[in-house]
Order: sequence, then C-alpha cells, then structure tokens
Amino acid sequence: MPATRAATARRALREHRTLVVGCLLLGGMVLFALVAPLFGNPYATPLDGLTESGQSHGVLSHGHLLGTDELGRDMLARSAEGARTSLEIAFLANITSVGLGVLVGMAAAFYRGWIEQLLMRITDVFLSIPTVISGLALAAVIGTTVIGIVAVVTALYWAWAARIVFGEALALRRRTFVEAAIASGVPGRTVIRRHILPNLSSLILTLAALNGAAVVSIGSGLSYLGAGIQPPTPEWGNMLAEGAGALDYSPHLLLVPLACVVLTVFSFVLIGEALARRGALSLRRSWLDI
Amino acid sequence: MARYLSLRIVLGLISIIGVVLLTFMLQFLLPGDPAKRIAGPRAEPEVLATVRANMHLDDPVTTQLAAYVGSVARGDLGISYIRRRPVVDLIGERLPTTAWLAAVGLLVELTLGVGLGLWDGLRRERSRGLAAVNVLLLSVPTYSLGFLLLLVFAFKLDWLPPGGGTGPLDLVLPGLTLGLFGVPYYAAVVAESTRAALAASFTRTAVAKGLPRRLIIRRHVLRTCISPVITLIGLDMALYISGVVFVETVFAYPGIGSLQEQAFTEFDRPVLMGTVIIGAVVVIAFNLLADVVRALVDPRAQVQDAG
Repeated sequence: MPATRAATARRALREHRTLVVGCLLLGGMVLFALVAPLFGNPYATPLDGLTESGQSHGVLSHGHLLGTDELGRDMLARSAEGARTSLEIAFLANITSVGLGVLVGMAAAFYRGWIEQLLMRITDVFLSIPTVISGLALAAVIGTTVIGIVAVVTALYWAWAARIVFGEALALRRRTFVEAAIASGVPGRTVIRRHILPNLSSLILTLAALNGAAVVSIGSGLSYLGAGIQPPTPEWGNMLAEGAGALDYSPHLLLVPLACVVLTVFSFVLIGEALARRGALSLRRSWLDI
Repeated sequence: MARYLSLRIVLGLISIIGVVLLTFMLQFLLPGDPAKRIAGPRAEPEVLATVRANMHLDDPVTTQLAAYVGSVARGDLGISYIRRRPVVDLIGERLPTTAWLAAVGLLVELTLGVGLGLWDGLRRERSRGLAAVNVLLLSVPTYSLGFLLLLVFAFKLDWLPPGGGTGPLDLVLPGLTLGLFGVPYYAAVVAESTRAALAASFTRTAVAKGLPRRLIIRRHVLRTCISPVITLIGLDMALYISGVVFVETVFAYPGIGSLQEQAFTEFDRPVLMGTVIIGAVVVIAFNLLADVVRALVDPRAQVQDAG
C-alpha cells in the first residue's frame, strides 16, 4: 500500500536524519566536483577578473559568484576543480588506508602467533609516528602527485584501522561459530571471507566514514603546508595557502576553500556519527536517579 | 607492575628503533644529492668528492646505517644543511616555545573536555546541544579553526595579536585552536565513564550509605574518569603533535612545528628527519608515562596487579 510505504519512508527518514543529511551533503560535494567544467576554466585570467585598482573581486560580484583570486581567476571554477582533486585524493586514500588496515587487522587476529606479533608491532611503530611530521618527510620522498599523496595518507592512517579491526576480529575469532567452522576443516581464507568479514562490515563502514573525515582534512592540510598538490592546479589545501596571505584584505580567498573542506569533513563526520550511534546504545541507568 | 613496565619500555624502544630505521630509509629515497645541497649546484667535482668523503656517502649502506643508528643513539641528529648547526641544538632551542604552546592547548582541552563531559554524563539524557558542538568541532580541521579564530579575533575585532611572537598574548589563539580540537574526544570519554560510574555498584553502595551527592560525584565518579583521560592523553599525542605543526604554521609561531615546515620547503634533510625522530620519541614517552601515571592513580589497576 503506497500510503503506508510513504509513512514508513518518512519515519525512516526522521530516524536517520543525521545519516541522510550527511549523505546529501557528501553527494552535493561530489556533484559539485562532477559539474566543475560548467563553471568555466579555472586557469583563465579574464579581463574583468580584477577591479580597476587591481584588487580581487569579493563574493557575489557580477559574473563571479564566489569572487576572484589575486590573479583574477574565478573562485567558483577553482573550488569546483579543486573539489575534483581533493575528493579524488580523499576517496582513494580512504579506500586504501581502511583496506590495508582491515587486511592487516584480520590477518593478525585470525592467524595469531608470530604473524600477529610481527603485524601488530609494525602497526605500533606506525601508530607512534606523529602524522603530519612524517607526512612532510614522506611527501619529500614520494612526491606531490595525487598517487603520491594517496600513498602518504595511506602510510599515515592504515594503522588506526588495523588496530580497531584487530580488536574486533580477535573477539569474533573466539566466538563459537568461528571455532566450529575452523574445527570442521573450513580453510582459513573461507572462514575470514564468510564468517569474519561479514560480521565486521558495519564496523568497517563506520571506520571508513570517520577515516574519510580525517583523510580529507589531512590531505588538504598537507597541501596547505606545501607538501601536496602544487599550484597552479587548484586543490582546497593549496587554495588555503594562497588565501592565508590575504586574510586581512580579501578573506574570501581563504573562506571559500575553507568552507569546502569543512563541509566535506562535516558530511563524513555526520555519516560516521550516525553509523556509530546505531552500534552503541547505552542502556545503563544511573544509581543517582533513585 | 615492574614486569609490565619493563615490557612496555622494551616495546617502546623497539618502536623508536623502527622509526629510526624508517627515517634512514627515507633519507636514502629522498631525491637530490646531499653533497650538492651542501657544496652548491655548481661545485667542482673535487669539492663534491671531499664532501662525500666527509659525510661517508660512498660507504656501503650497512656501514652508513650503523653509523647513523650509532650517532642517533648518542643524541647526534646531524647538522642542518641550511643553518650549518647541529639539529639537536636547533630543536632544543625551540623545544620550550613548543612545550608552552602544547601545555596551554592541553589545559584548554582538559578543562573544557572534562567539564563538558562531566556535565553531560551527569544528565539523565545525553545533551543534544553538546552532541552538536562535538560534531561541529570534529568537522573543523585544526588549521581551519586557526584561520577562523585568526580572522575573527585578530583581524576583525583586533583583540589579539595575529601571530609571529611568543608572548603570553600570542599564546591565546594558538592554544585555543590546539585545545578546542581535542575537546570532543575528552568530553565523550569523560561522559561515558561518568555514566559507567553512575551505574556501578559502588555508586549504589554510596547512595545507600546516604553520602551527599556532591561527595559521591567527587570521590567516586570523578576518580574513575581520571584513568581513561590519562590514557587518552597518551593515545592522542601523535595527533596532538600534528596539530602543533598546523597551529604553528598558521600562527607563524616559532616552534618545532614551523621549524619542520621550513625544513620541508628548504629540503633540509637532517632537520626534517630529526624532527620526525624527536616527535616519535615524545609520542612513545607520553604513552609510557600515561601507563605509569594511570597505574599510580587508579586503585583498580593496582588491585589487578596484586591479583
């Protein structure tokens, strides 16, 4: 019955409001990146790009919705083109870091013994490396292409995922259905694929959302420090660096890319919070309330 | 306890050795010829050869590795290519400046985080307002928060200096940026352990004994929050130091973070690797310290140890 179905959908929407808002926001940013060519050439320096005194146009000026930068390039076109680079880095790095973390965490928890010792000690070493500091050192080696930054971010973030997945997988390993599968002679890889991975899926999804937030901010952060995508290719982080110098006279140069970064991180945090809350509902009561 | 601690110290040392090996490997992979960095791009071949010989660049990798590990173990992190001074001195000079910033940030983080967490944990229902504030703070990366505070308080309102100095007023905005970023984590942990303590049987006993509410909160609830907070300080250190680099760069604060950022732009290899090693040592030391302090203050940890 359509009416009931609509009512159910409405109720589901209300219950998952955080999740829905997060997904819409993230979808909006992805769409913004996809339609980037519609906003014109991000490298063009048109004649009307600067005011007569050579200043950049502010937000909402004629023909430039988000204003222009100090060379007269359109900020809307540049942020959209920047969204392509920034989101590409974020999605790739998120997949690789969570993926590597899941593989290492599951292998260590399932096979135990020296494999666990070796993998988890390596994880410990990576966990004790301060992210940004080593990010700069790594970027100096690997270089500042998209793939290079994805590699740097992966190197910095896989260990968190590995730690968390290891703990959960270890608990699953002790459950009877896993022990039964192992005892009945099912090969290890099949046990992982059929019994452990499906039970970790919601954890991995939450992890991916929260890791996504971290990866967006570190990716743009490294570019801001000069260790990411280099200008003139627009990327939110290097746009921030360009805008930082003009903070007192044309703040929109900084605020536009900053809003892009914050909105994207916000969308990932909303999704992550919504997913995490589903898993952990506290049913405890307080003795002070009696 | 002693056995556990010595195990932790050994594991910490293994981690430090791992980091030193990683930095050594990174130095090998770095593009560019160190001899040319020092002697200049148009140096005579004989000069380059002398520099190479002095730096032992022609030795086998294993010999170089042994020399590198040996000198790091003696506390010698090499000499800066650009500033021509020992890296240890460069870092040592800036350590107090960064330590002040880190201390102010930690103070902000702890005061606000513990306060808000306790307030939330004592309520019957979770505060939606606090949850919203948490999500907002989580969504603004350190550097973005720094820029926003800089724009509002230094440029628009002109209340505080825009950075560059090291006076007490120069510490306000960087310290606030660094601290606010960590508030959601501390608030969540404190709220969670407050709820756990309120539901625990020792609170039931305290209520049954007729102890006043304030006393129960101070003596039984707050004390159980100390241990997770200390753990979090240790765990958070790796992220916290990253925040320091961003904050120092945004506010042009002359500490270790901005030293490292400069070293990156100047391709100053020894300084870059030196800061990585020092950073890792700080993180590992704080983790270890957190374990020791927790064992000392938390009565439950001692009971476990005795049993």
